[in-house]
Amino acid sequence: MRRSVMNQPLDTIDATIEQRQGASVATLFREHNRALVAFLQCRLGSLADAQELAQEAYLRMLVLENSGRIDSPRAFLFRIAANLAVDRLRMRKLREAPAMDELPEPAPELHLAPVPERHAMASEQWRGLQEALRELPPKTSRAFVLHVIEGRDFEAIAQTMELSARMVRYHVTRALAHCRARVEEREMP
Amino acid sequence: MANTQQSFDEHMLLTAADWWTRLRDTRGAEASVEQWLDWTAQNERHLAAFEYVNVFGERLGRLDAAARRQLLHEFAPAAAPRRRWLPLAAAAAVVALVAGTGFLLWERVAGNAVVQATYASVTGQNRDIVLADGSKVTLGGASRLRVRFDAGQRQATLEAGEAYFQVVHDSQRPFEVVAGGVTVRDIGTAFDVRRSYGEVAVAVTEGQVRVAATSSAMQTLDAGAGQRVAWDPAARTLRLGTTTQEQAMGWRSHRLEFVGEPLAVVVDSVNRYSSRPVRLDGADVAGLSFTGTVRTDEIDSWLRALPQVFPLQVEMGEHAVTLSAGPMPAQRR
Repeated sequence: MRRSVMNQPLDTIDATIEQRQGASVATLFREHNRALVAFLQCRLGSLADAQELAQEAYLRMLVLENSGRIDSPRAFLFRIAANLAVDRLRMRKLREAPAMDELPEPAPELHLAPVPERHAMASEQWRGLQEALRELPPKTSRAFVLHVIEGRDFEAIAQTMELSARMVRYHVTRALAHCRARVEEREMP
Repeated sequence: MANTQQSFDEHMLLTAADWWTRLRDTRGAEASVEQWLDWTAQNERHLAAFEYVNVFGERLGRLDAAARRQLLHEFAPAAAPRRRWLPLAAAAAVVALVAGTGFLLWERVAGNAVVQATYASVTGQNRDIVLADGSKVTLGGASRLRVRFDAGQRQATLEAGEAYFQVVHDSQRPFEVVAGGVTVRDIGTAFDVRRSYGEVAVAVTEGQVRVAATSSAMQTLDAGAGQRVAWDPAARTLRLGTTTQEQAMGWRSHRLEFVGEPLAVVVDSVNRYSSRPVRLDGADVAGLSFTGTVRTDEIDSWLRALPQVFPLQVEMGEHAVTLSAGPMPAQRR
C-alpha cells in the first residue's frame, strides 16, 4: 500500500493516507458500532459510558499512524476499546474509593457496577426478580448476586464459594438467563 | 437498538447469557471477543438477544443501595456482613470531606501504638494541623501529607506540595520527613519542605536538620537556620544555599517568594493556589530564571505582568492560562 504512493508528492501522500484511514474507520464504524457499544456496555454496565468510549476508540483508530498495516482492524478496534474500558473501571474505582487505606469499610474488589440509581426497576419487576432468584438452586442465585449485585469477579467468588471460576461463571449464566426470562413475562401486561 | 417487542426462546437466552458472562470474564477474554463477534455476525437475532440480556444486566447493576443490600442479605448472607457496601451517602461524604477541607482518619493497629493519618488541602488554601505528638504542620495549597508514628519513629511523607513543620523534640523518637528524593531528619526544629517540578527544597528557620538523598546514604547535608538545601533530581545532587524567614514561610501569609528559580518550579507552586491552571509551552519558557514575589491572591496580575520581564506571551483562557515564547520585552516598545 505504501509502496504504490511512494512516487507521489508528499502532500498528496498524506492526503491519500488520511482518506484511506478515514474511509476504513468509517467502514469499521458502520459494520461494528452496534457490537462495539454492546461489548463496552457489558464490560462497564453503563450504556452512556459505552457510547462515549466507543467514540473514543474510533478517534484513536483515526489518529493511528499506518493503520493500513493492521492485520485485523476489527480486532484492533476492540482491543483499544477493551483497554479504554479497563482504564474507565480503574478510574471509577479511584473516584468511588479515594486513595486511602484508612477508609473505614473497604469497597468491593471490582467496581463493575456503576453508581446505583433509584427506580432502575419497577416494583413489579423487582418482585419478579426476587421470585425468579428463589426458584434457582441456592448456589446459582448466590453466585449471581455476588457478581451482578456486589460486583465481585468470578475469581473472587470462586474463592468464597470454594468452586472453580468456570463453575461460578456457569451459575451466573444460568441465573441471568432465567431471571431475564422471568422478568420479561412481567413486562407484558 | 434492542427491540423491546422481541422475545427469545430459552436456548437463545442461555447462549446470550453465556456470552455475557464470558465477556465479563476479562481473563483470557481476547479470544472470546473474536468468537463473540463471529457469533453476532452469524445471525441478526444473536446480537439482539445479547443486547436484551445486556440491558437487563445494566439495570441490575444500577439497583439502589437498599435493593442491593436486600438481595445480598437473602441470597448471599455469608458474604453480606463481611463485605457490606460503604453506604453511598457515606462514601460521598468522605469524598466531599477530602475535596473540601482535607481529611483526617486515625487508625490504631491491633493495640500497637501505631498511628497513621493522611492530610490533604485543596488548591488555594493552606491548612494548619497539630500532629499526635504536638508537632505543628502548616500545609500549603493542593498538598498532601501522610503521617505514621510508632514507638520508635515519627515519619511524615510529603506526597505533594509544600509544608512547614514545627517539630516537638523527642530524643527517643526522631522526626523524619520524606519528600521526593530526600529524607529530612530534624533535631527539634522548624523547617519548610517544598516539592515542585521534581525538585525538593528544604528551608530551615530554626534549629538544625540533616538532609539525605534517599538514593544514596553518602549524600548528606546538614543545614541550620537561614540555610536551604535543594535537591536537583536531574543531577541527583544536594545543593546548599541560603534563605530568609520570608522566603521560607512567606506562603503562609499569601506571598510566594522565589530567588533565581526556574519558571517551571515557580509555576508549579503558583498552581497550588491558582483557580485556573497555568501551563508552560516549551522548554525555553520553563527554564527562565525568576526572582520575585507572587501574591497568591493576585496571581492574575502577576501573570499579566510577566511579558514585561520575560520574552513570553500570556494567553488567558477560560479554563487555563498558557505561557509561551514571545518577543523580547525590549522589542515590544
